[in-house]
Amino acid sequence: MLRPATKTIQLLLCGPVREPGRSGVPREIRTQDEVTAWLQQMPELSLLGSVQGRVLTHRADADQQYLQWQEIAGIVAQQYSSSDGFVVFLPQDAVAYTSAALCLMLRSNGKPVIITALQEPQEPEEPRRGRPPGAKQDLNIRALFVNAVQFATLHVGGVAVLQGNALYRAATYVPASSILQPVLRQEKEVVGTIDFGLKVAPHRPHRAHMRLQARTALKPRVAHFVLAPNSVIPLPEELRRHKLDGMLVSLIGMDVPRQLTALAAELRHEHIATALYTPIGLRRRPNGIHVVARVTPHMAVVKFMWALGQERTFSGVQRLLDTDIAGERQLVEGDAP
Amino acid sequence: MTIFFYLPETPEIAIRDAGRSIEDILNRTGALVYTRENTADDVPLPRKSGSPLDAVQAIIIEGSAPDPEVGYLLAYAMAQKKPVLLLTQQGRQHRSPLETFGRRHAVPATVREARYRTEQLERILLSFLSRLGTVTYREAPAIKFTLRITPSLERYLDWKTRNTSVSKADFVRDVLLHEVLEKDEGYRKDRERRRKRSDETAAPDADSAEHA
Repeated sequence: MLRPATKTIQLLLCGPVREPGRSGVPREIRTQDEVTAWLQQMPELSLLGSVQGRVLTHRADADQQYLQWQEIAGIVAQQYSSSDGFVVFLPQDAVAYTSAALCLMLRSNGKPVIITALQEPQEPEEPRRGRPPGAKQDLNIRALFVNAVQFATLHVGGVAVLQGNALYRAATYVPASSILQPVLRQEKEVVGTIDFGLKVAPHRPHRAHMRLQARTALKPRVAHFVLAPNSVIPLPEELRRHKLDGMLVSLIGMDVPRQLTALAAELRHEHIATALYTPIGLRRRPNGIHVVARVTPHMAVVKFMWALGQERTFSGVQRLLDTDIAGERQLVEGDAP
Repeated sequence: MTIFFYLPETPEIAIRDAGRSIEDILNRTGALVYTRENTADDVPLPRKSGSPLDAVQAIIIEGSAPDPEVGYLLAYAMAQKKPVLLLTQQGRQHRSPLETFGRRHAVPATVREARYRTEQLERILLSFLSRLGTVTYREAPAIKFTLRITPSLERYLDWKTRNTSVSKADFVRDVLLHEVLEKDEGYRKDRERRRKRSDETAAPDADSAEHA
């Protein structure tokens, strides 16, 4: 059947986008008028549906990114009943954390939320006669938007990340630059591919009829430390000075050190939660310390922040950390089912 | 020259037959033709990243049957500024995807739409490929024409074609084409006017392939 071009897609821009047809450095689109004018320069999007653009405040500071997540989740929840899909355009470095956050925040989401970022070219564009500088990049932006909007009109269940030729499940998305990517079986998390057309993997009938539950509360001040043998354990005074809500510690190649257990006990009295992250789980759980396991590193940070915002008790937070909220828990190589 | 030809899945035999004809014609031009059945898995396509559509030079779509993929292909091709030929069989009532643009002049120049009868397919396709500069299309002199000339003209033609491989008929045709027709501004403007009118009614121009 011919699909009528009546699907409404919300396009949320949260990063610097170069206006097509102009060369030079990326130009951040700031106002709603600029977004409207910019979309008018891409009339081809009208073939796919009714695309409504909206510009969000760009939070370049990592400490402020949680506000971006909450803003996006709020808009999705607000526009959920009147829209058929969402496309979120982000800077490349914000994709992993934002996709993890949206998975957790948008419970029972049955509509496609496609997160994408423009990849900066690895090599400078070769000058060609008759082609203005930056023209190739402009074509790439337009093609990326066409692909993202088209995916948003298809039956993609939930939040997904469009990168390169594939659409990845957001709950288990790992950036290509991550050292953990070979271990985390990323290729099995592909839900769609781009060939001469777009192909989406079949999935269970979704919950489009269900009401979306946006649970956006989180504790933003969580510090993340990586502990390897011979690493220095952070001092309690230093942690107090930053008025933290929690501390997430990634252990690499070592057991839980005694000093960390003592530090966690001390911080707990001051309502600073401590969690351990390990991709493959722990044989023995230390007392008084949360454990975030079998998720990607980005998901671990976000899930800990989110769980602290959702629950107040130690057991409540740990229950959320152990629960598979959005399909984020996964088995890794060498791990028992 | 690599071309992606898209034929939607349809039970209609007329469209499937037309699809086969289009593929045959394209193959005869020497172009490397990708189809839905014959995609990058079967034939290697040089590409670094992005869609395989980036690597093809033109896209031809048989859009007689309603299909959601057609809109996507058109949009992607427009985004990439790739030449597209959207073919629809004459007599079909289904709504063209390009109607979403409202006014026809809003459709980019890289997109051409043509309604066809099967016997017109070759001319339309060769016309489209000629515009891309890949196929040189010459009309076959199929119309018989009796011309009576004077003895002096006969002597001139005889002298002109002596010791050459050109026949008198070829010489007369070349002079008419290159010295008269191509230099006739009035005729050229008239053809342009007719072609524009023909495009506006979405009907293929019978002579559009002549000098593309």
